[in-house]
Amino acid sequence: MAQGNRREIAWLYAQLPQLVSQGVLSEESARALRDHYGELPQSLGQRLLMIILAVLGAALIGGGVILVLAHNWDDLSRPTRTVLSVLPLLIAQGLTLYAFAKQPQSTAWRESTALFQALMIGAAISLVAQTYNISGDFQGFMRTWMLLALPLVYLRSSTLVAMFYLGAFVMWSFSGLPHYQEERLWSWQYWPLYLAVLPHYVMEFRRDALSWNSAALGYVSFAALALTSYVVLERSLSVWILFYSGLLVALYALDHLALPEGGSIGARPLAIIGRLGAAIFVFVLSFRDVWSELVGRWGSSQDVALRWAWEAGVPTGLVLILAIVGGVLVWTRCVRADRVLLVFPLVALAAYFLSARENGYDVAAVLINGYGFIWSVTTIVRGLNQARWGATNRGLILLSALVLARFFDSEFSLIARGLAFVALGVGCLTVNYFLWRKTRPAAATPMQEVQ
Amino acid sequence: MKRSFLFALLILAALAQLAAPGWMIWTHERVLLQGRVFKLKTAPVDPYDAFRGRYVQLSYEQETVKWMPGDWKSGEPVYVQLTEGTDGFATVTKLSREKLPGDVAFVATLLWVGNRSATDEIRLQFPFDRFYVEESKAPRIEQDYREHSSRKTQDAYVTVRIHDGTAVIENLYVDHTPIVEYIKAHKK
Repeated sequence: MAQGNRREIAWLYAQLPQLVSQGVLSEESARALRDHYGELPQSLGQRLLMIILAVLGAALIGGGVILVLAHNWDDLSRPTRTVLSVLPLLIAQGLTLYAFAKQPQSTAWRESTALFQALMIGAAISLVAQTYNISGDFQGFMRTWMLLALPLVYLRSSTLVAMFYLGAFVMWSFSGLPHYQEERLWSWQYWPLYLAVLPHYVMEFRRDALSWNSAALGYVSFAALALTSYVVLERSLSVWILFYSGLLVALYALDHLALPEGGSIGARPLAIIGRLGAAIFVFVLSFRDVWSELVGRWGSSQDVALRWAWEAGVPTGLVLILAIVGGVLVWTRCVRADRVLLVFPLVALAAYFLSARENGYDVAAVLINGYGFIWSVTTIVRGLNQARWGATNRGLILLSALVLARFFDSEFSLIARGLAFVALGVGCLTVNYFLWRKTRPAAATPMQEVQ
Repeated sequence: MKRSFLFALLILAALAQLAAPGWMIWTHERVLLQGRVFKLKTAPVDPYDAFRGRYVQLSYEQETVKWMPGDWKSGEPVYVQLTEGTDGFATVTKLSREKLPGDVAFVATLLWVGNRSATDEIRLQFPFDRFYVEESKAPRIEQDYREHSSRKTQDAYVTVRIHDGTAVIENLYVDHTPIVEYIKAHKK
């Protein structure tokens, strides 16, 4: 039963006694209604709490056992230590098998045993490493850990292990950063490691696109991608500029294509990450320095671009194609402000290639600023027309950020900067005041959608 | 059918998970049981850097060696051959890209190659640079290790065993006593 449904049934049940006492419904009808909808299902919150408690309990017991053993660690013989190092993992595996055989219906059992097992893999490896004084290659350790935990994502269809995997993936990516370009021999592993966990998200998404599982996984998957892809993209001719513009818009278009209407905005991670990410990214690209740094790389790094084609060029091309095709497919369904978002990859492409020309970085920065201005203004206009607080203020924030950044970029006097602050503040308050005036008559009904 | 297949896959995954620590245990245990033992003097340490969390960061005098002719590149792995000196401590006597016979050589990283003259030095990084200790004993061990590997008194060393190109630390000694026992005997 979907969560929205549950809330409505709970509301109905709360109303029933009153309706009966007022004579709107007869006792019988009320009972018939209860029979029809049945018991109120356990809420997501309750189930989640159970899962968290189960996982926490498992982790605490595991950690506690290790701590107790470690108390006399040095006095134990090496074979004893070795056995004790692997024991928690063996216990965790036993619990998973028990859950598989005896508790096939229980989400709490499935998720908590799988996560516990995933965590104990790392514990076993590190304890053995300590026993034999093995020096750490942190990145290699993370990779081994992730790969050994990965089967649990699919065999136990465990969302928590998938999230653990993505968290470990972020750590793995960043731990490779200190290596310089020539030494980043690991970068080819980036995409296979990321793509390995994505099918689980696709399966959850197809089962129920608006479920808690899908939404949470969506946020973690794409946040992890957006956070880390810079690590493999930055070195090759700054194609990250194109990659991110394509990725964020592709996510936004995918939300329109794949998700059914309805559901709360929070259940649409693709739309949120796409739109919020694009706004942040437009702001980043609005700085002239981003483009002038890129210019320094043109011409000097052709061979680098070639060498990095597989890690950076191919994914960038793919997301750009996805973004453009997706944009065309959803174009007619979008309002004007969102259409402006859909053309972002084209604007980024134009700016990218314009920046290669002489003094092109100024042109590129102006182009992006103009684009940001149009996007924020169309968003504000849409928000005002349809009386939407969310859209209005989203537009206002982007517009203010762009204007303020330009004031700090350029050499304006303190007075000019101060006046700009005041003007923007007055603008924000005025727009919100008008919106309030406009929506006041409807204020008695709760806001249906904050968008 | 599908369930038993899933069950088999789960067992396979569990075995793979056990194989990782199992492989670590097997390779290192084999070295400790069959390897030849060498004594290596630790290098004077920067006292503020010696101890990190639950392990002692070790470095060795023999990680810096005189120039040996060869087409060495920084960052590449090399076989390092140890020979026992008259004082009982091991010295590096040969570097090689190919595996060396006998349990006398292990793989280390060439950290830095100078300007390739006879007066120059080569910096190596041995793969065994950590000695794990129990947390409660950590402060004492740190202090003792510092006192015994400062530039004035330097009698800290480790024993390593080498077998088939792999080296594993056996113990850390201070004043010719294993560090854990040294601490027990010198309880303050």
